[in-house]
This record gives sequence, C-alpha cells and structure tokens, in this order.
Amino acid sequence: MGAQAFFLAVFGLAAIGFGVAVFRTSSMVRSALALLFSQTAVGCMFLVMQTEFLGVLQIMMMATEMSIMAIFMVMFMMDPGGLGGMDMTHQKRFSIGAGVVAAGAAIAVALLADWGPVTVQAPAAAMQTRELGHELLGRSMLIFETAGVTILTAMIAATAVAIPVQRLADNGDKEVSE
Amino acid sequence: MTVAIVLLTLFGSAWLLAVIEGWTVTGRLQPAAPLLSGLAHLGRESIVPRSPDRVFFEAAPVLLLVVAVLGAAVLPLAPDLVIADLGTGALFINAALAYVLVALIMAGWGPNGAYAMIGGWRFLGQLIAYSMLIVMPITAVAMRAESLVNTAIVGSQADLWNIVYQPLGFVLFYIAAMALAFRSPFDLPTAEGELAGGVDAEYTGVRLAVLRLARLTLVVTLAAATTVFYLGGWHGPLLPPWAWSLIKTLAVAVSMLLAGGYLPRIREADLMRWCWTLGIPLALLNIVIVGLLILVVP
Amino acid sequence: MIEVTKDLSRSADGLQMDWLEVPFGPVFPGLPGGLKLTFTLDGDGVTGGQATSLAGMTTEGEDFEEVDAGTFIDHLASAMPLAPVSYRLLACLAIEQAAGLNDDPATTQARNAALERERIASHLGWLAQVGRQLGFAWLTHRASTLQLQFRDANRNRFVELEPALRALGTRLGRTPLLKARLKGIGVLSTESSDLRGPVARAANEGGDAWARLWQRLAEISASFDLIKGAGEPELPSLRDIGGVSGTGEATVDTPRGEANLRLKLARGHVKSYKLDTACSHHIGLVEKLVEGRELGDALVAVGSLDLSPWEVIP
Repeated sequence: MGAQAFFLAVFGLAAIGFGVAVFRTSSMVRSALALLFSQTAVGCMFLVMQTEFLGVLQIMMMATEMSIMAIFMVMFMMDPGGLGGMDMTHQKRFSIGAGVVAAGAAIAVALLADWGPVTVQAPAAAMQTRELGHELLGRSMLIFETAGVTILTAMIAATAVAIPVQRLADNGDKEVSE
Repeated sequence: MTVAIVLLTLFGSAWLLAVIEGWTVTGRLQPAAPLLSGLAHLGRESIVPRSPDRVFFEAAPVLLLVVAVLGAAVLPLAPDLVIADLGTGALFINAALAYVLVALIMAGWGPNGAYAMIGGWRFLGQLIAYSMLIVMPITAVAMRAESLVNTAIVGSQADLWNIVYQPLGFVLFYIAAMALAFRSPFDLPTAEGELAGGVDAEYTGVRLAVLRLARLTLVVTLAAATTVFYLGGWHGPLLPPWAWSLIKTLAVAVSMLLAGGYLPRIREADLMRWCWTLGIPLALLNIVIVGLLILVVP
Repeated sequence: MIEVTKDLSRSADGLQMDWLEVPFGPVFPGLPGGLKLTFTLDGDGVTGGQATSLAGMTTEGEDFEEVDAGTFIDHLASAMPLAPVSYRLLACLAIEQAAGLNDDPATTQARNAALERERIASHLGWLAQVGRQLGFAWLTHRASTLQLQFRDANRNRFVELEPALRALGTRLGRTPLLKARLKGIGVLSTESSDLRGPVARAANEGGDAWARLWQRLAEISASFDLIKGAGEPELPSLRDIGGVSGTGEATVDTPRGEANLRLKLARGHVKSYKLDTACSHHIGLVEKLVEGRELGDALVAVGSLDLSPWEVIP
C-alpha cells in the first residue's frame, strides 16, 4: 500500500510537471511531446492502480495521438521552433479563474462522490480484460458503437471538407503534388 | 536471472544480425566486426549540430533502445523464460512499439537539419500506413487464443501454428513489422539515396553506436513478436523450447534483413495508398475469417 | 508575437509555411558526384530547383592555349571521366576531318566497337547509381560488378558475359515495386526541346523514368549485338595528320546523347574549339522536372536523366 501510494505520487507529480512544461516552452514540438509524456505518466498511474488494460491502452494511444498533434502544431503555428520566444498564454485572468473553478469541481467530485466500497484485492489483469470486454459488448455497447461511428463520420467529413475540389482529370495523376 | 538470460539473448541476436548484415554487404564473415565498430564509434568525435534541440537530440537514440528492450521484455523465450508475462502482453508490445515514432520524431526534430527533419516527419506518414496493419492481425491472434497473455497465445498454437491458421494476418503483420522497423523497402526515414541518411545523418560517435544498436534490437524484438504470434513460439520437436524460439526469431530477423536488398524503396504515396485501400480491408477480412473459424470449427 | 511565416507564399494546400533551401550535392549518395542541386522545399515537396555542375569544364575555348593534336585528344578524354572513349573518338574524328583524311573502314569498325563497349559500361554505371538512389542494394552490386568486367573486355569475354547481361534485364523486369517507383516520374514528352540520346528516344515511349530505364537496357542489348558483328574493340588513336591546317567538325552519339565538336587546326596544333554536349542541355531541364514533386520523386527524376557533371559546358 505504501509503495503504491509512493509511485502514484511520483507519476502524478510527473504528469503535472510535464503538463506545466507544455506551457512554459515556446517550441511547438517540445510542447506536444511534453503533453505526450504527461499522458504517459497518467497511464503509468493507471498501471500503479492495477488497471493494466487501461494503463497500457492509455500509453499506446497517447503516443500516436500526441505525435500527430505535434505535426499539426508545426503546421498551423507560426513559430514552431520556439526560437522567437512567443508568449504561449492568452486571456490570463479568465483562464486562471477557469482553472481554479475546474480544480475545485474536480476535488469536490473526488471527495464527495460515492465511489462505492474499495475492493480489497484488485482482480487479475486477465480477468479485468475479460470483464471489460463483457462490459463493452454488453451493457455499454450502444454507447461505444455510437461514439465510434460518430468519430469516424467526423473524420471523413473533416477530410472531405479540407481537401480542395479535384478535377476529374486529376484522378490518379502523379503530377499533382501530394 | 531470467532478466539476464533474456537480455543476453536479445543483444546476442542483435550482434548476430549485425554480423550477417556485414556479411551480405561486404561478402566477408567477420564475427568481431560489430563489437569493433561499436568501440570505434565510442572513440570517434561526437559532433553536435548547431543549435539543436538538445533534449530531443540526446534522448532519441536512448528512447529507441529502451523501446526495443521493453518490447522484448514481454515476449517469452520458453514457458518460464519471460521477464514480465503481463496480462495484456500482446497490447503492451504495441504500446511499447508506438514509441518508435516518438523516438524518430525526436531524432528528426532535434538536430535542426533539413535531412533529419524530413526523415522524421516522413516516418509519421509511414506510421499512418502501418499502425492499423500491425494492430489488427494481433487482434485476430488474440481472438484465437482468447487471451492477451503472450504465453497463452503461444500455448494456443500447440497443435497448429497461426501462420497456417491465419496466413493473411501473418503476411500483413510481417509487412507492417518491416515498416515499423523502417527496414528496406520501407526505409523512408533513413533513405540513403534520398536523404543521405535522414534521421541517422546527424548522429556520430556514441549516439550513433546506440542508435545502430537500437535499430538492430528493434528488428530482433519484432522478429520475436512474429515468432510468438504466428510461428508457434517455442513449439517444436527434439530441441529444448528456448532453442526453437531462438531459431525461429533469427530466421525471421534474417529474412527481414535480406528481403530489403532485393527491392527498391517504396514511394510514400504508394505505401499509404496500398495500406489504407488494400491493407486495412484485408486485415478486417482476416478478423472476420478467424472469427468464423473459431466459431464454426470445433 | 513574431510571425515566422509572415508574407510567405502559400503552398498548394493553402498553408503558409517556412520554405527551406536545401542543397543536394555535390557529394550526395545516389546522385552523380559534382552535381549540385539546390531545392526549395516545402516540407517534403519541391517548389523549385536548380542544378549546377561543380565539375564541368570552365573554359569555353576563349582563353585556350594552342596545343598539339595528340595532347588535345588526351586532355579532352581525361576531362570527361564518365565517357573518355566517346570524347577521344570525337576529337579524333574532328581533327581528322580538319586534316582532310578520309574514313578508313578498318579503324572505323574497331572504333565503333569501342564506342559501343563504352555505352554498355556507361549504362551499367548508371544502373548502379539508380540502385543506390532507390535503396536497391542488389542492383548496385550486380551492375557495378558487370560494369568493371565489361569496361575493358575483348570480344571473347563479351560472348562469355552475355548471359549475365540478359539475366540482369530479365530480373529487372520481374522486380516488384520497381515499376511503381519509376512509372510516371520525371515525364519529358516529345514536345520538350533539347532532348538528346536515350532521353529523347524514350520520350516516344512515354518519356518517364521507367521508359528511360528500358530504353537504356535496350541500348545495352543493341550495342552488344553491334559489337558481336563488328570485331575487336580498339581505343581510338589519331592517324598521322602531319602539319596541316583547317577546320573540322564531328558528331558522336555518346552514351548520354549527341556531342558536337568544332575545331580549328593550325599546322597540326588545335587553335580553338567549340564543344556542345547533351548534358549541357539536359541540366536545364531539371528546374521544370522537379517543380511540384515529392522529394524522392524529384531526385529519381533527376537521376533518370543520367547527367554527367563533367560534360556540362557552362
């Protein structure tokens, strides 16, 4: 129990530390990868709390997602290298206020909600995976299927809106720059 | 003890792979060559490019090596010879290997050079192509084993190897594994003829030695994953289990190494197009077929 | 806040990005040594490119000192290391024409055989370079081995090596991914001006890198058949011209295209000359060839032109 709390604290602080680094640095790629490692620390927290599947999944997904976010940040932000020393913060007072309120709400939910009894022994990882599978395809199937299809539709629609209108003659033509 | 044996096997295989690679390039079998060239790298000047992103520049080779070792940590050599037989072993390999992308982005962005940068971001495009192709066959494999535990996956192949049961999955996984390890013909990030070495270009001395070791170890890890998922792991007559694992892993690794010499590099546009229009439907088909086989065949 | 991308032009996809000017060469793996490409890169797409040769001859013949004919031939041959026999032959023909000598069938046959032998060797060398550029290790190894064997081969050796050559062609035809890599890349249609040699002949077959590959392989076959019929190849050497004066002109189909030499003889010494090579024209095509392409495609397109930086006359 002591070891678990210690590692939880370590990874939690790492997550917060990397999260702070996201906004302290001016370099876009450093910012994106700092967020990546912050999420990895959260994934490690899951592992420490013995929810193996969630932890591994978090670590895996965040690597790919944050890297893609990195390239988008390089594409759309004006100073990707960060050598210009741009100030990354905007609307300081509003965001501080929003941050305090959000932190208060999160702490309130954590302390006041009824989480149920604490299990004495967390089930084995294989068992957890099995039960997670039953849950996903049983009670929560409608939620996840709808979410999945909605995200896919949004991706396709966004891509279709973003690409310029192609003339029919250009189909399959290697002359057009990618 | 187990940790020592597995790590020794991992780096020993990497060394053997380096010897074989040297053999195909120079025509001479020189067992001492990788060690000597590694030592030579340590002795050479470590040049740091002008105004690099120092954190990324230093971290990238190390991260690549760590990823390869972590991936190998969950792969069993024998039923009792695995560093960490995680409950989600098959998924963990994928999680670890996802950081190859992070390492290459760091290696691309860090040196502040055009060749490296293009190589690094090209690998991101390559990931878009291969990432589905590496996860979906693993899904089909886990379906047959009804577990994500690697030893259980090998156990499920006791009477019939997955390469026979799901050959389509094997082909897709093999191709995706070569793309992940950026071996020729998928060596877009380190293209010698297009980018003069790409992400490898700005590394010298110690860092280059670590990077080269990491690349070889990555190939060994992926070969071991192919063995565990598709070639029945340690199953085989006469020889002890660890010997079979080793033989199969080395065979797959050598084949990945050699296949590239006989093919030209693929165009990035073609890679993405074929993986998405051909590869993913085939991977889904593979899952459907395996599902039907599991339900129908007793 | 600073805008690194302020006032920059927009790319094809509408984004305003920082464009890099990146040199490729003069010592770049896969490109001929001495060729310097400067690409303006928008990510991995080329928006503009320029090619210059750092190894080309620097004199156009203006501040050229009079040399005797033999020395001139040796200088010209050694100035073109990728096609020495062709340029030696060119110089011999021009000088002999200036001296008023008629064609001698025996030497002509031997000289043509040597020219065709060099054509085979040059195309094999180009194949090796293409292999290096495409990451095709087997091709590089095989083509360079064959090139060294063919370069000084006599007629008997040729007959021995024939199966190896045929096998190379068959193997290339069967290589997967090669067609996908080269088809549609670097299209130079018949409408383009200034095309010579294999590039011009391939323009009739589609004019892309794939057509140029097969054109050069076909030329290797054709040269081979010519040598078998012609006789023993012999290096071109100048026949006795004495101390004549006059003007001469000759054209030779070098492995990279037609080269033309005009010179003035004075008492057996070359007073002035004017050289026109295929590569001088082809190098100007690079700009149009690479615009708007992905980097790998652009480099393959430039490689398929088979530029020899020494043969570029500024």
